[in-house]
Amino acid sequence: MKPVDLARKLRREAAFEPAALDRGKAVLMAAIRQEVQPMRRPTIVPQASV
Amino acid sequence: MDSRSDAEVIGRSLDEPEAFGLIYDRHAATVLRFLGRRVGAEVAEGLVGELFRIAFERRKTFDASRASALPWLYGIGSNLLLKHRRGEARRLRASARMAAADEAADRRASAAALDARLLFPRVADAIEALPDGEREALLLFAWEDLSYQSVAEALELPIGTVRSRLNRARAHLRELLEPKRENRVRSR
Repeated sequence: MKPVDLARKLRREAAFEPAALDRGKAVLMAAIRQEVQPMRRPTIVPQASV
Repeated sequence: MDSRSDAEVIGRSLDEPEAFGLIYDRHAATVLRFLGRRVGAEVAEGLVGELFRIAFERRKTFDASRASALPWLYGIGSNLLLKHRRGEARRLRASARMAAADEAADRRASAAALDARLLFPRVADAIEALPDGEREALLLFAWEDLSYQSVAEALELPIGTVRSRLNRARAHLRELLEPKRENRVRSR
């Protein structure tokens, strides 16, 4: 057997909880929110003095 | 289903950052399995969000001529895994023990089972002993079933360099797995 085929035989699937994907997405969404908030800060329009 | 390519979605996310969430929905399970094979489920679960956060922050550097983002994500993952080399070595040895046990469970192949028990831990040690660049190319090719082109994209290397790294990795493995020439001569 070729060395690469031997390496292939050692491949293992790691089982993970479906909730792990949600936790990962929460990390990404937090980074996205951080970037979005400064972009969408409302423009301050100076008010005319009375 | 959204028919836009990853490149289009990432392009859109430059103006609408939330669009990047679709890249996560498309590839997170594949990336999580990749990380899990390398460092185990527990560590992988902590890394997947970090990997996508880095990808999001670097999305401007994504090469839009590549339709799929997956090789790029593998590349970011490979860099993250460098910090987890010790855990990876443990995982590789555990995989070797389990693979050998699977072979041993097959009673029809008792000679092969014996070979596997002896051989698989040596394969794990041999992979572990490869230089980082060769090991990474080999595992992306053999474990993730990436093409030469995708390994090149993941590691940001010319395809010729990937071919030569894989050839060197194969030669190193063969060298590490075969008994020394003088031993073979002596045992005749």
